[in-house]
Amino acid sequence: MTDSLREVTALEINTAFVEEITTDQFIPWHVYQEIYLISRQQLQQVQIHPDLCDRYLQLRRQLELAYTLLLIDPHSELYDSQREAQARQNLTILSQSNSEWESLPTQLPDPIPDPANQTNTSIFNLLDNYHFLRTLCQLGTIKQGLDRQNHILNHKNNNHPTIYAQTKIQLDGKIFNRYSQNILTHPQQSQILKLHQNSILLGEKQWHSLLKVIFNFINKKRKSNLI
Amino acid sequence: MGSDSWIQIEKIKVSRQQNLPDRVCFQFNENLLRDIQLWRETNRKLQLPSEILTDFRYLILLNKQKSFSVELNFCSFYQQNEEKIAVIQSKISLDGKINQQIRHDYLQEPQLLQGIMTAHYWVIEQMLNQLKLKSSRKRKKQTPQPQLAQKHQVLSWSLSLGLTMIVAVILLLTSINLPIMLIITVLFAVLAQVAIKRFLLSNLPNSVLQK
Repeated sequence: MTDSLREVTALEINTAFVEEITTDQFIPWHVYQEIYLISRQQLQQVQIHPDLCDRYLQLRRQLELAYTLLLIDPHSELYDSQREAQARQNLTILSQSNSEWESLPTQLPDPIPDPANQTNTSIFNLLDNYHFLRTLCQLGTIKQGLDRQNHILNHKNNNHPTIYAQTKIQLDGKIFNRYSQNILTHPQQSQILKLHQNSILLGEKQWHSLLKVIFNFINKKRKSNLI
Repeated sequence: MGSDSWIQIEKIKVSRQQNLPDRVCFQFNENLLRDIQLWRETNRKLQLPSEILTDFRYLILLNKQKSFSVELNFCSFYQQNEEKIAVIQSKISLDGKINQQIRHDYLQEPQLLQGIMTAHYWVIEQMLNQLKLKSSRKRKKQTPQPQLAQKHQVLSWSLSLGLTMIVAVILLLTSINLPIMLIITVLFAVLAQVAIKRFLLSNLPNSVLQK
């Protein structure tokens, strides 16, 4: 967990005005399967908007790349000396986005394991690996964004498109604000902006409180370990 | 000033026996919003039932274990005409991402939305604050037995060793078997040390004791 604290480079507050509140839960196996199955034919089948196809394919490449890197790392629990040679060969092709990586046979385990054919790294071991899960989580978030964009592009006559406002406060002092275009013409523009400002103030305060709570827990644990 | 049933922690079923806490839900209605505004203005602290606090603490600890970052999900529902609608949802994660979803159609009722939003954040703040207080209060209760300062430890050990030597010499003079003599001396050293410590603990003033 301290790794994630080290990665805090910015506070990002996203306010979205939606038609209905949804909970996105990160279910690793689900995300893994969805990205595993991405290919040019599959994207056509599910009618992904052509503008986004390349970005979806990049997700698939990143997944394969992440796994390959773990295969060749002797410190990783997924290290496989038998497949290392092949993995290293694939690595140079996989690390370039415009290479022939799509024609490489995949080394990733099947999301639905075949009981008759036990491979070295079962899917369950893979989904237990902390590093792989972290990458999978990031890829999942990107995919969610792509899915949303796809939905917007495919359903042009959307009555109530989601309105987004984002403020990013970086540790080096830079502040970035990004807004959906439809805010500019929205009748309740000032209210939307005011609510976003509220989100920033209160969100920041509560993130701070959460941080204090976690530090409290860690301190308590540390003290009880010392006794 | 109770908060019995309007704060709920939704649980998801992980297996047949396990239900894990997932989302913290607030069920607001017109009266409750009014009450909350009153409590805010008079700076009253929300009385959270211990069950909720325990579940909440469990939620945070679980989160800490399983994910890469602690992520808390709070959702406010508003009851209007027998219908409970999710109006505001905040996802606060430790790595700095705060995601807010606000229902679009409530923009048409700015006063109400503002009221719900203020109440939403106020309750979250109350919950986080009470969690902090409780854990630091718990810490004070669980302080270890007062231990003696270093120099007093040395004193008690040296005293007991000195007495042990005297006993050993006496035993030598009475020529008991060697192994029995050793056992007796060791036992005596330990017991003497404990007795001296107890004596010092009960007689020294509190300021000398180290927590």
